[in-house]
Amino acid sequence: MSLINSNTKWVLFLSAKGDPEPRHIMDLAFGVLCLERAGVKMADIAIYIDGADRVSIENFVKHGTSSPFSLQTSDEFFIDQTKNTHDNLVLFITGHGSLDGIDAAQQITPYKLLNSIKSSPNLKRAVVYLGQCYAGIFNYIGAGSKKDPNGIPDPEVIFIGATNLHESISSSTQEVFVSGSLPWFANLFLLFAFKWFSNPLDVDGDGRFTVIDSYKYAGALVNARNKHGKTATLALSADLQAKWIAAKEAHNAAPNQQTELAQEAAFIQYSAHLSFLHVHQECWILNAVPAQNLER
Amino acid sequence: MKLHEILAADLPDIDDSVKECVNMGQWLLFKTDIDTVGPSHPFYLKTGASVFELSDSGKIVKEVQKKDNLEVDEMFYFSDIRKPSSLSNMSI
Repeated sequence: MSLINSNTKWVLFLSAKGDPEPRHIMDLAFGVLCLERAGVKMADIAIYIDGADRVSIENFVKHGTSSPFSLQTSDEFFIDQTKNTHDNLVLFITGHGSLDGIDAAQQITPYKLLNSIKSSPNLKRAVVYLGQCYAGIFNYIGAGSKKDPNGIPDPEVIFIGATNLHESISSSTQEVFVSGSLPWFANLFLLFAFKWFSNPLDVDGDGRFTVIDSYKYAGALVNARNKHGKTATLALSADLQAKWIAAKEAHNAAPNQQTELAQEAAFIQYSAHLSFLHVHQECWILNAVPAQNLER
Repeated sequence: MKLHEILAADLPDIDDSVKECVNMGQWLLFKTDIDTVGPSHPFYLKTGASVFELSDSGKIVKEVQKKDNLEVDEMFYFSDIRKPSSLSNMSI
Protein backbone atom coordinates (compact mmCIF):
# COMPACT_ATOMS: atom_id res chain seq x y z
CA MET A 1 0.00 0.00 0.00
CA SER A 2 1.55 3.28 -1.12
CA LEU A 3 0.82 6.41 0.91
CA ILE A 4 1.64 8.84 -1.91
CA ASN A 5 -0.48 6.98 -4.44
CA SER A 6 -3.58 6.60 -2.29
CA ASN A 7 -6.04 8.75 -0.38
CA THR A 8 -3.64 10.22 2.19
CA LYS A 9 -3.78 13.42 4.22
CA TRP A 10 -0.27 14.76 4.95
CA VAL A 11 -0.22 16.98 8.02
CA LEU A 12 2.47 19.41 9.17
CA PHE A 13 1.73 20.36 12.76
CA LEU A 14 3.14 22.98 15.13
CA SER A 15 1.13 23.87 18.19
CA ALA A 16 2.34 26.43 20.73
CA LYS A 17 1.04 28.11 23.85
CA GLY A 18 2.32 31.49 22.64
CA ASP A 19 4.06 32.29 19.40
CA PRO A 20 5.98 29.44 17.77
CA GLU A 21 9.71 29.72 17.25
CA PRO A 22 10.74 30.53 13.64
CA ARG A 23 13.07 27.49 13.65
CA HIS A 24 10.10 25.20 14.21
CA ILE A 25 8.18 26.82 11.35
CA MET A 26 11.28 26.26 9.21
CA ASP A 27 11.18 22.55 10.12
CA LEU A 28 7.76 22.41 8.50
CA ALA A 29 8.75 24.61 5.54
CA PHE A 30 11.43 22.02 4.85
CA GLY A 31 8.76 19.35 5.21
CA VAL A 32 6.57 20.97 2.54
CA LEU A 33 9.59 21.22 0.26
CA CYS A 34 10.44 17.52 0.65
CA LEU A 35 6.86 16.27 0.37
CA GLU A 36 6.24 18.18 -2.85
CA ARG A 37 9.55 16.88 -4.20
CA ALA A 38 8.34 13.38 -3.33
CA GLY A 39 5.27 13.89 -5.49
CA VAL A 40 2.71 14.75 -2.82
CA LYS A 41 0.20 17.30 -4.12
CA MET A 42 -0.30 20.48 -2.08
CA ALA A 43 -4.03 19.73 -2.09
CA ASP A 44 -3.23 16.70 0.10
CA ILE A 45 -1.04 18.66 2.54
CA ALA A 46 -2.60 20.39 5.53
CA ILE A 47 -0.56 22.85 7.61
CA TYR A 48 -1.54 23.61 11.20
CA ILE A 49 0.61 26.22 12.95
CA ASP A 50 -0.37 28.29 15.99
CA GLY A 51 0.66 31.90 16.54
CA ALA A 52 -0.74 35.40 16.26
CA ASP A 53 1.45 36.67 13.42
CA ARG A 54 -0.17 34.80 10.55
CA VAL A 55 1.61 36.84 7.84
CA SER A 56 5.10 36.03 9.13
CA ILE A 57 4.22 32.36 9.60
CA GLU A 58 2.96 32.24 6.01
CA ASN A 59 6.14 33.99 4.84
CA PHE A 60 8.29 31.35 6.57
CA VAL A 61 6.32 28.47 5.04
CA LYS A 62 6.69 30.08 1.60
CA HIS A 63 10.41 29.30 1.77
CA GLY A 64 9.37 25.70 1.16
CA THR A 65 6.80 26.06 -1.59
CA SER A 66 5.58 28.27 -4.38
CA SER A 67 2.19 26.53 -4.38
CA PRO A 68 -0.78 28.24 -2.77
CA PHE A 69 -1.59 26.77 0.64
CA SER A 70 -3.89 27.43 3.55
CA LEU A 71 -2.70 27.85 7.10
CA GLN A 72 -4.78 26.66 10.03
CA THR A 73 -4.33 26.48 13.79
CA SER A 74 -3.73 23.34 15.86
CA ASP A 75 -7.23 23.22 17.35
CA GLU A 76 -8.61 23.08 13.80
CA PHE A 77 -6.73 19.82 13.27
CA PHE A 78 -8.86 18.13 15.92
CA ILE A 79 -12.05 19.56 14.40
CA ASP A 80 -11.02 18.54 10.88
CA GLN A 81 -10.36 14.97 12.02
CA THR A 82 -14.00 14.61 13.11
CA LYS A 83 -14.92 15.16 9.43
CA ASN A 84 -12.12 13.03 7.96
CA THR A 85 -12.58 11.61 4.45
CA HIS A 86 -9.08 10.18 3.97
CA ASP A 87 -7.98 6.54 4.25
CA ASN A 88 -4.54 7.46 5.58
CA LEU A 89 -3.01 10.15 7.75
CA VAL A 90 0.69 11.02 7.95
CA LEU A 91 1.37 13.54 10.68
CA PHE A 92 4.66 15.34 11.33
CA ILE A 93 4.87 17.15 14.67
CA THR A 94 7.50 19.70 15.62
CA GLY A 95 7.68 22.26 18.44
CA HIS A 96 8.18 21.88 22.16
CA GLY A 97 7.28 18.91 24.32
CA SER A 98 7.38 18.04 28.01
CA LEU A 99 6.02 15.54 30.47
CA ASP A 100 2.67 17.32 30.03
CA GLY A 101 2.55 16.55 26.30
CA ILE A 102 2.99 18.68 23.19
CA ASP A 103 3.12 22.41 23.91
CA ALA A 104 -0.19 24.11 23.05
CA ALA A 105 -2.78 26.42 24.60
CA GLN A 106 -4.05 23.20 26.16
CA GLN A 107 -1.22 20.66 26.22
CA ILE A 108 -1.76 17.74 23.84
CA THR A 109 -1.43 14.52 25.80
CA PRO A 110 -0.75 11.17 24.14
CA TYR A 111 -4.34 10.00 24.59
CA LYS A 112 -5.81 13.28 23.32
CA LEU A 113 -3.92 12.74 20.05
CA LEU A 114 -4.52 8.99 19.92
CA ASN A 115 -8.26 9.33 20.61
CA SER A 116 -8.62 11.98 17.92
CA ILE A 117 -6.95 9.70 15.38
CA LYS A 118 -8.77 6.56 16.50
CA SER A 119 -12.17 8.28 16.29
CA SER A 120 -11.56 9.86 12.86
CA PRO A 121 -14.28 8.56 10.54
CA ASN A 122 -13.17 6.61 7.43
CA LEU A 123 -9.53 6.53 8.60
CA LYS A 124 -7.77 3.17 8.16
CA ARG A 125 -4.22 3.94 9.20
CA ALA A 126 -2.01 6.72 10.51
CA VAL A 127 1.70 7.36 10.86
CA VAL A 128 2.78 9.98 13.40
CA TYR A 129 6.34 11.35 13.42
CA LEU A 130 7.02 13.06 16.76
CA GLY A 131 9.98 15.45 16.78
CA GLN A 132 9.40 17.24 20.08
CA CYS A 133 11.28 16.73 23.37
CA TYR A 134 10.15 13.83 25.54
CA ALA A 135 8.36 12.22 22.59
CA GLY A 136 8.71 8.92 24.47
CA ILE A 137 5.64 9.73 26.56
CA PHE A 138 3.67 8.79 23.41
CA ASN A 139 5.14 5.28 23.52
CA TYR A 140 3.43 2.31 25.19
CA ILE A 141 -0.16 3.32 24.39
CA GLY A 142 -2.83 1.38 22.53
CA ALA A 143 -1.84 2.22 18.98
CA GLY A 144 -2.68 -1.10 17.29
CA SER A 145 -6.00 -1.66 15.51
CA LYS A 146 -8.80 -3.14 17.61
CA LYS A 147 -12.28 -4.28 16.63
CA ASP A 148 -15.43 -2.88 18.23
CA PRO A 149 -18.24 -5.23 19.39
CA ASN A 150 -19.60 -5.21 15.81
CA GLY A 151 -16.26 -6.41 14.46
CA ILE A 152 -15.35 -3.09 12.86
CA PRO A 153 -11.64 -2.23 13.27
CA ASP A 154 -10.40 1.19 14.32
CA PRO A 155 -7.38 2.77 12.56
CA GLU A 156 -3.94 1.21 12.81
CA VAL A 157 -1.66 3.88 14.28
CA ILE A 158 2.12 3.89 14.04
CA PHE A 159 3.98 6.28 16.33
CA ILE A 160 7.61 7.14 15.55
CA GLY A 161 9.46 9.19 18.15
CA ALA A 162 12.63 11.20 17.59
CA THR A 163 13.65 10.59 21.16
CA ASN A 164 12.53 8.68 24.22
CA LEU A 165 12.18 10.32 27.65
CA HIS A 166 14.79 12.96 26.85
CA GLU A 167 15.06 16.30 25.12
CA SER A 168 15.32 16.06 21.35
CA ILE A 169 18.30 17.33 19.42
CA SER A 170 18.36 20.26 17.03
CA SER A 171 21.38 21.47 15.11
CA SER A 172 22.23 24.21 12.64
CA THR A 173 22.15 23.24 9.01
CA GLN A 174 21.77 24.98 5.70
CA GLU A 175 19.47 23.66 3.00
CA VAL A 176 18.34 24.93 -0.38
CA PHE A 177 14.73 26.13 -0.30
CA VAL A 178 12.67 27.62 -3.14
CA SER A 179 13.74 31.08 -1.91
CA GLY A 180 17.44 30.19 -1.74
CA SER A 181 19.94 28.64 0.66
CA LEU A 182 18.84 29.16 4.24
CA PRO A 183 20.30 28.25 7.64
CA TRP A 184 18.14 27.26 10.58
CA PHE A 185 18.39 25.34 13.83
CA ALA A 186 16.68 22.18 12.63
CA ASN A 187 15.01 19.33 14.47
CA LEU A 188 17.36 16.60 13.32
CA PHE A 189 15.03 13.61 13.32
CA LEU A 190 12.34 15.41 11.32
CA LEU A 191 14.97 16.79 8.95
CA PHE A 192 16.14 13.31 8.04
CA ALA A 193 12.61 11.85 7.99
CA PHE A 194 11.58 14.55 5.49
CA LYS A 195 14.71 13.94 3.46
CA TRP A 196 13.85 10.24 3.31
CA PHE A 197 10.47 11.03 1.75
CA SER A 198 12.06 13.16 -0.99
CA ASN A 199 14.97 10.80 -1.54
CA PRO A 200 14.12 7.40 -0.02
CA LEU A 201 16.50 4.57 0.79
CA ASP A 202 15.51 0.90 1.05
CA VAL A 203 17.39 0.34 4.30
CA ASP A 204 16.20 -3.23 4.97
CA GLY A 205 16.63 -4.33 1.34
CA ASP A 206 13.14 -5.75 0.86
CA GLY A 207 12.80 -3.95 -2.47
CA ARG A 208 10.32 -1.40 -1.14
CA PHE A 209 10.47 2.04 0.46
CA THR A 210 8.46 1.49 3.62
CA VAL A 211 7.77 3.51 6.75
CA ILE A 212 10.12 1.25 8.70
CA ASP A 213 12.90 2.34 6.31
CA SER A 214 12.17 6.00 7.12
CA TYR A 215 12.50 5.22 10.84
CA LYS A 216 15.81 3.40 10.42
CA TYR A 217 17.17 6.04 8.05
CA ALA A 218 16.29 9.06 10.21
CA GLY A 219 17.44 7.33 13.40
CA ALA A 220 20.81 6.25 12.01
CA LEU A 221 21.54 9.67 10.48
CA VAL A 222 20.66 11.51 13.70
CA ASN A 223 22.86 9.18 15.74
CA ALA A 224 25.75 9.72 13.31
CA ARG A 225 25.28 13.49 13.48
CA ASN A 226 25.05 13.28 17.27
CA LYS A 227 28.34 11.43 17.55
CA HIS A 228 29.93 13.84 15.09
CA GLY A 229 28.57 16.79 17.07
CA LYS A 230 29.93 15.45 20.35
CA THR A 231 33.39 15.03 18.87
CA ALA A 232 33.41 18.50 17.36
CA THR A 233 32.05 20.00 20.56
CA LEU A 234 34.89 18.65 22.64
CA ALA A 235 37.34 20.36 20.32
CA LEU A 236 35.43 23.66 20.28
CA SER A 237 34.06 23.90 23.79
CA ALA A 238 37.16 25.47 25.39
CA ASP A 239 37.21 28.26 22.78
CA LEU A 240 33.48 28.87 23.10
CA GLN A 241 33.70 28.95 26.88
CA ALA A 242 36.56 31.47 26.67
CA LYS A 243 34.48 33.67 24.34
CA TRP A 244 31.53 33.53 26.71
CA ILE A 245 33.67 34.41 29.75
CA ALA A 246 35.24 37.32 27.86
CA ALA A 247 31.78 38.59 26.83
CA LYS A 248 30.60 38.26 30.43
CA GLU A 249 33.59 40.20 31.74
CA ALA A 250 33.07 42.91 29.10
CA HIS A 251 29.46 43.24 30.17
CA ASN A 252 30.33 43.38 33.87
CA ALA A 253 32.94 46.09 33.20
CA ALA A 254 30.58 48.34 31.22
CA PRO A 255 27.05 46.99 31.36
CA ASN A 256 24.66 48.09 28.62
CA GLN A 257 22.16 46.46 26.24
CA GLN A 258 24.81 45.92 23.59
CA THR A 259 27.21 44.05 25.88
CA GLU A 260 24.32 42.10 27.41
CA LEU A 261 23.28 40.95 23.95
CA ALA A 262 26.84 39.95 23.09
CA GLN A 263 27.06 37.95 26.31
CA GLU A 264 23.76 36.20 25.59
CA ALA A 265 24.86 35.37 22.05
CA ALA A 266 28.17 33.93 23.26
CA PHE A 267 26.31 31.80 25.78
CA ILE A 268 23.83 30.56 23.14
CA GLN A 269 26.75 29.42 20.99
CA TYR A 270 28.44 27.71 23.94
CA SER A 271 25.31 26.04 25.32
CA ALA A 272 24.18 24.79 21.88
CA HIS A 273 27.43 22.88 21.62
CA LEU A 274 27.19 21.59 25.17
CA SER A 275 23.73 20.20 24.41
CA PHE A 276 25.38 17.76 22.06
CA LEU A 277 27.49 16.46 24.92
CA HIS A 278 24.73 16.15 27.45
CA VAL A 279 21.57 15.22 25.52
CA HIS A 280 21.06 11.60 24.65
CA GLN A 281 18.71 10.79 21.79
CA GLU A 282 17.47 7.38 20.72
CA CYS A 283 14.48 7.04 18.42
CA TRP A 284 11.69 4.48 18.84
CA ILE A 285 8.74 3.05 16.92
CA LEU A 286 5.43 1.77 18.26
CA ASN A 287 3.45 -0.70 16.14
CA ALA A 288 6.41 -1.63 13.96
CA VAL A 289 4.82 -4.59 12.14
CA PRO A 290 2.39 -2.63 9.90
CA ALA A 291 5.20 -0.11 9.31
CA GLN A 292 7.03 -2.85 7.39
CA ASN A 293 4.28 -3.04 4.75
CA LEU A 294 3.30 0.59 4.47
CA GLU A 295 5.07 2.08 1.47
CA ARG A 296 6.02 5.72 0.95
CA MET B 1 10.13 36.38 1.58
CA LYS B 2 13.34 37.95 0.35
CA LEU B 3 16.74 36.72 1.54
CA HIS B 4 19.73 39.07 1.59
CA GLU B 5 23.43 38.72 2.31
CA ILE B 6 25.26 41.64 3.88
CA LEU B 7 28.78 42.13 5.20
CA ALA B 8 29.65 42.06 8.90
CA ALA B 9 31.03 45.60 8.45
CA ASP B 10 27.57 46.83 7.39
CA LEU B 11 26.46 46.53 11.04
CA PRO B 12 29.70 47.26 12.94
CA ASP B 13 28.04 47.71 16.35
CA ILE B 14 26.72 44.15 16.49
CA ASP B 15 29.11 41.76 18.20
CA ASP B 16 30.43 38.84 16.11
CA SER B 17 28.76 36.34 18.47
CA VAL B 18 25.39 37.90 17.63
CA LYS B 19 26.20 37.67 13.91
CA GLU B 20 27.10 34.00 14.37
CA CYS B 21 23.75 33.35 16.08
CA VAL B 22 22.05 34.91 13.05
CA ASN B 23 24.05 32.88 10.56
CA MET B 24 23.52 29.64 12.51
CA GLY B 25 19.75 30.19 12.36
CA GLN B 26 19.38 30.65 16.13
CA TRP B 27 18.44 34.34 15.95
CA LEU B 28 16.77 36.31 13.20
CA LEU B 29 17.85 39.57 11.54
CA PHE B 30 14.99 40.96 9.52
CA LYS B 31 13.09 43.92 8.11
CA THR B 32 9.38 44.44 7.82
CA ASP B 33 7.39 46.04 5.02
CA ILE B 34 4.83 47.51 7.39
CA ASP B 35 4.57 51.23 6.72
CA THR B 36 3.62 52.14 10.28
CA VAL B 37 7.22 51.72 11.45
CA GLY B 38 8.21 54.72 9.35
CA PRO B 39 10.06 55.30 6.10
CA SER B 40 13.48 54.17 7.34
CA HIS B 41 12.71 50.40 7.45
CA PRO B 42 15.20 49.59 10.20
CA PHE B 43 16.74 46.23 10.96
CA TYR B 44 15.19 44.13 13.72
CA LEU B 45 16.92 41.40 15.70
CA LYS B 46 14.81 38.60 17.14
CA THR B 47 16.64 36.75 19.91
CA GLY B 48 15.22 33.92 22.02
CA ALA B 49 12.74 36.05 23.94
CA SER B 50 13.03 39.61 22.63
CA VAL B 51 12.93 41.72 19.48
CA PHE B 52 15.20 44.76 19.20
CA GLU B 53 15.11 47.62 16.73
CA LEU B 54 18.62 48.43 15.51
CA SER B 55 20.21 51.60 14.20
CA ASP B 56 21.95 51.67 10.81
CA SER B 57 25.18 50.62 12.51
CA GLY B 58 23.57 47.83 14.54
CA LYS B 59 23.21 49.62 17.88
CA ILE B 60 20.14 48.71 19.89
CA VAL B 61 17.61 51.55 19.59
CA LYS B 62 14.86 49.98 21.67
CA GLU B 63 13.20 46.71 22.59
CA VAL B 64 10.05 46.20 20.56
CA GLN B 65 6.89 45.39 22.47
CA LYS B 66 5.36 42.02 21.71
CA LYS B 67 2.01 43.57 20.85
CA ASP B 68 3.63 45.36 17.90
CA ASN B 69 3.78 42.01 16.07
CA LEU B 70 6.23 42.89 13.33
CA GLU B 71 5.84 40.93 10.12
CA VAL B 72 9.03 39.25 8.96
CA ASP B 73 9.29 40.18 5.26
CA GLU B 74 13.03 40.18 4.53
CA MET B 75 15.76 38.12 6.21
CA PHE B 76 19.45 38.99 6.35
CA TYR B 77 22.60 36.91 6.80
CA PHE B 78 26.29 37.77 6.87
CA SER B 79 28.26 36.56 3.87
CA ASP B 80 31.64 36.84 5.62
CA ILE B 81 30.73 35.12 8.92
CA ARG B 82 30.73 31.33 9.21
CA LYS B 83 27.53 29.46 8.34
CA PRO B 84 26.55 25.87 9.10
CA SER B 85 27.39 23.24 6.53
CA SER B 86 24.49 21.34 5.04
CA LEU B 87 23.60 18.04 6.66
CA SER B 88 22.50 16.89 3.19
CA ASN B 89 26.11 16.11 2.51
CA MET B 90 26.36 13.80 5.51
CA SER B 91 26.86 10.10 5.02
CA ILE B 92 27.51 7.16 7.31
